[in-house]
Amino acid sequence: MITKVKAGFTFIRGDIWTAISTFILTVFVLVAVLGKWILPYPSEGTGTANVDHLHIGPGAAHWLGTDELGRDLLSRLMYGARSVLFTSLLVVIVAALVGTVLGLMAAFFGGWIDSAIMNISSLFLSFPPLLLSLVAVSLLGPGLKNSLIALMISWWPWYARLIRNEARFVKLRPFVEIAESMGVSRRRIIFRHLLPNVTSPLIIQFAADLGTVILAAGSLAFIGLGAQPPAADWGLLVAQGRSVIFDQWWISTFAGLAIFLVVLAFNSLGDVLRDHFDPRRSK
Amino acid sequence: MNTVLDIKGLKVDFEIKGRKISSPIRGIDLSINAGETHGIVGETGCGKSLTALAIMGMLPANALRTGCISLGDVGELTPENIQQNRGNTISMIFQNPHSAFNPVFTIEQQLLYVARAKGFSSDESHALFPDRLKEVGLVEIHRILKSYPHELSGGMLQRCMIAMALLSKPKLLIADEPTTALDATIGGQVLTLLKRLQKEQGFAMLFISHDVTAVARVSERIAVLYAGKIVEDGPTAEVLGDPQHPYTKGLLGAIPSRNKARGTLAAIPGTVPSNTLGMTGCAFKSRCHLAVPQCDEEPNLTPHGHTSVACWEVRT
Amino acid sequence: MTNPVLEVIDVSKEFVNDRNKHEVTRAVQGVSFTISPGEVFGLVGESGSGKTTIARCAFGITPATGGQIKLFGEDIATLSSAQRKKSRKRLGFVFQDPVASLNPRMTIFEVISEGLIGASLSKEEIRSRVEYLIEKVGLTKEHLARKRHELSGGQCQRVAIARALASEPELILLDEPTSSLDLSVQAQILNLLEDLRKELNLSYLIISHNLEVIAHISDRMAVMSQGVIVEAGTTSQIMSNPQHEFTKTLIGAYETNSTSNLPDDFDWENWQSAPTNRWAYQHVSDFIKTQNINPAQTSAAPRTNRPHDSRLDQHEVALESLYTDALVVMNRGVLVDERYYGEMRPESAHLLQSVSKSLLGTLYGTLIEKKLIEPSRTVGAYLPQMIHSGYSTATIQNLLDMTAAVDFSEDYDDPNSQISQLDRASGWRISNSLDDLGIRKFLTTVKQNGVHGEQFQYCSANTDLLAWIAESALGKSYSEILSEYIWQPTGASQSASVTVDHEGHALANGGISTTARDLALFGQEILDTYLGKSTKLVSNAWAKDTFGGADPAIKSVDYMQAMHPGGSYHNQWWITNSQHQEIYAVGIYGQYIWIDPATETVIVKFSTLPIALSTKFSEEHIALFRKISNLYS
Repeated sequence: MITKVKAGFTFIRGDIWTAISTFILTVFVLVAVLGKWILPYPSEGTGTANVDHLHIGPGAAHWLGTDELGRDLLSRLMYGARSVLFTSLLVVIVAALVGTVLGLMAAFFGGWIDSAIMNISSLFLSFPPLLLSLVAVSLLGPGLKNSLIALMISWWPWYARLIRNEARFVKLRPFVEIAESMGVSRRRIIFRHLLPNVTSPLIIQFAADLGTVILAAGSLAFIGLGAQPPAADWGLLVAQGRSVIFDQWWISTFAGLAIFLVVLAFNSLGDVLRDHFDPRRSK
Repeated sequence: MNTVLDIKGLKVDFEIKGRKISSPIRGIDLSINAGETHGIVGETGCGKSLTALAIMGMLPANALRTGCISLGDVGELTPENIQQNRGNTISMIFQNPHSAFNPVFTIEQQLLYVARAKGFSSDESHALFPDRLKEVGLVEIHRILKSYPHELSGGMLQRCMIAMALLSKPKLLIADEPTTALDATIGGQVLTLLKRLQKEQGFAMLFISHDVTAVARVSERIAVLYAGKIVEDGPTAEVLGDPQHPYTKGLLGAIPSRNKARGTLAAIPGTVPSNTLGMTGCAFKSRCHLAVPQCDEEPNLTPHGHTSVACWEVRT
Repeated sequence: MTNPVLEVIDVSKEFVNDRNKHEVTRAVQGVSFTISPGEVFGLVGESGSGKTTIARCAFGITPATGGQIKLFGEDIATLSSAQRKKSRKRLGFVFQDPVASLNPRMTIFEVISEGLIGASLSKEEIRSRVEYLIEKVGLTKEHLARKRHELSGGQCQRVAIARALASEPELILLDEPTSSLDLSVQAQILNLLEDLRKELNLSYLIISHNLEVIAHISDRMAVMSQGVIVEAGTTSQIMSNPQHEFTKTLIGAYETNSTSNLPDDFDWENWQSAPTNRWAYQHVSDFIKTQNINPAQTSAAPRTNRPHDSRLDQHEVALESLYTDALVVMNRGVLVDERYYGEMRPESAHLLQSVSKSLLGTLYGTLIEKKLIEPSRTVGAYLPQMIHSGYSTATIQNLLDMTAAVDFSEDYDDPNSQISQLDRASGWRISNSLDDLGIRKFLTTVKQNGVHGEQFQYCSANTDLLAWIAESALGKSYSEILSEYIWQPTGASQSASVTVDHEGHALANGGISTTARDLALFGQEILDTYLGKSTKLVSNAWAKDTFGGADPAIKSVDYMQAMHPGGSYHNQWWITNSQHQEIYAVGIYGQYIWIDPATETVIVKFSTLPIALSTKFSEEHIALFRKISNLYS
């Protein structure tokens, strides 16, 4: 799998847009990982207000200006990158795990297990994604943790359905049939035969979802149901800049721009992976 | 002697960015007279389907063809004139009848499309079709015309494809594995049909297949193709009854039969070369038990009785 | 009969349409067949015939709707899941698409070892078994680390076979195992399957739409069409004598112009007699499996001139009345006359019938002299498989002189006589049951009736038994032995051939075909050996002993004494004990090698008499030979 991802990345070099996306994502990940240690204004980045520097626009001292509490916006965004990345990773990983396991079971066992899992998934999938999260959050209460739980609940059905459909095709292939005829254990068939052969669509979906979840989490934060102040969540920053958008336009703008660029970059990555894996591998 | 197809020195190379990457056809000479069938037999990768495409002018964009292909009165086939000959004086039938028909059109609609391209009017076509379908042995003509491809069996569709190919009364019919996807009994009927039509209409036929039995059924002459070159060519009975080239012998010896004791089928060691680029001498030498130093020089097709063989070890 | 590995009893399979529960497709109806241990059973049919469906039901992959299936004697419907698991280990599966039948994410090692997981073997044991298997199927240990996209189609199929063999199965299902492979790769895989079958004593159920493959590899087969078996039986029976229209159509689809050259009136039951024999004796390999007996590589260029001695023209009428195909006369080592009739040419090989026995007799002369065989040893001492048969205590010399006392009738017209059984066993006549096939199997059933060594009794099976002993003692096939010790030293210019049974064992008692000239060369060698002029084949001592006749103590038979007073049968030659001390080899329907040492004449005659044997024909032949020899005295 690692070699495939590496191979995917070498493929990227061919196209200017994919090069830009790679660059954006690399920066994003680096910033998220290095966090506190590279902030231009560390204390402000982490939340300390600086009432002396209110309403400063983009300029030499503060490249992106300061927010409504005088904190360097760039530092805030950089600090928030970590939360944005890790929370979306967490959501997608959990959703993918749960969804994959359920999807594999549905594909392998068929019958009522398949019907049950698919019907529940359909139920969840028929809600507009954000609405589901809203309902969940309203039941659980606002806050980052709850918004993440809400997102996970909304996201797993996509994986369940995707993996179930892919695994059903794999199950029909001769090598699975032979394994069953030879009396190979069910556990082994699911994890050694079905799972390794559905990783391509899984990876593609995973990459694209990272961007989508960032957007969703940001949206939840924007309407106040996600991360709460003083967190540096980008959606929250957009929300916080909303009331002063006409005077201090830079707050919402740059926060929104950050979200836009990262989501775009993840979607590009998803497209590149799809092109790399699908037509060539579907022999 | 009414020569319909004459191929001289056909070579096809594939290139990328001006650099040759493979030579799937390295020199083919072939001629077919009217009313006769010449078969080409060989395994995967020998270049037989590519030969058909070369004649039809349907090679991929990065293919470089040299040599001369001429068709009866038309003369040499060039990129300029191939378009008007394709589907007209030369027709082709393929292995998978389902892939030759568009699934969203009925048979009648597709035949009409072809007929109109040949200059038949709508009325003329409608009058023509029942006869043409009857000619290929179909009975429920009205139902078939109104059917979609997926509603017909493989054998019936293959007959429709033959009817479609013969609409323009071509001088040359190329058949590329026409019976491979069909059951043996249905395939046998199709072969009999092709022979009958050939006798009635007098077209020349190039029959390409990996199935020696099928080729032998319809061809007066057989050419054995290996790695892009003909290694043996001659009357069917002689090539099959008294093969000279070691590859031909190996190929025929590999055909299973109840008269051969189990475990004794001829097994030619090694595999067909996937790319002959950079190879010198006979392409078969690395697998040949008769190989001698002279085989480092490429043997040409030389006459041996009634057949021609490309092998140094075959004495005249 | 040992217990069958698979019994399919009146099995049906219906498929119900998912959407419309009333729509039922009957894929298979009332199918029955059995497979015995070590047997290859072929199912042939076109698409939709139900052959794959029935195979899957038989192997428990798909449940049957009706009927009973017994695997290794147990009804699979009654097995518990633990018993089913055990049963599964005795089965192997090889499917059509070799590439798709391997998991693309697994290494070859993992693919093959999958069947061994849960068998409580240590890692080392698994590794060594996998390494053993990969080499058994013709690949190397290096291939074990690769994945399927690094292998060719043929190699993938070999891996699939190795996987099937992992759990040491007894029965393997092969569903179109070579249909997606090139012709030459198919040949390799089919050969491999046969080698494995012989070595590991496997049984195969093989399914294919390709009749040639099924006919080549199966012992017994069934033809399916539209869910039912339309015809079933031994392969030779179905292919030579198809009854059902569909079978005939299917066979017809595989005939090319050049290979269906059996004459329209070819008669399978009576090809040895007239009228079919005239053609059949010159084309034996067209309808029976044969092996070649090779001449020396650097044999002399074939002669083109045909010598003619006009003094023999007076015998033309007699030759015609004796249904002659060829006559070759040699005198004092020189070819003096050659005559061919009808379709017969100098290069035509003609069936020798029992003249074949005399080649074996001469062969044994050499083998005994070279101390490779000891004539006083018994059959049982050479072949443990024969210890319980009637031949057990007979000696080699008993067999050579036909004094073994066995229950054997040479009545060619009686379909139940032992000679007819031997004909069926060797593929010369059609058999209805697999139990009939196999020369060796037949030989083990012969019973003793009397004391060996006392009485002359002509019995063809003795010669086949001697051929088996020679193969066993030398470790080579009979055709190779004959080539090395007889055909090459004789200086024959053309290959001879011998018919073989379904296992590849030669019918030494009568299945050899040679050209007339080559046979005359052989006869000349015998004469020269007796005259002391040559020792290429055997020693002068053997020749003297043979020409001298058998032990006088042996009781002779009336018909022999009537024709040759004082004559006998010795070392598979007929010894006349006449004034000229002639000896001869004779085969039914008129085949002869006549050797006259007094006039130094050798005569070879091929004929196709309308009947096997008659005193009149025999007497006329001998009279003719003597007249011809006397021309040279």
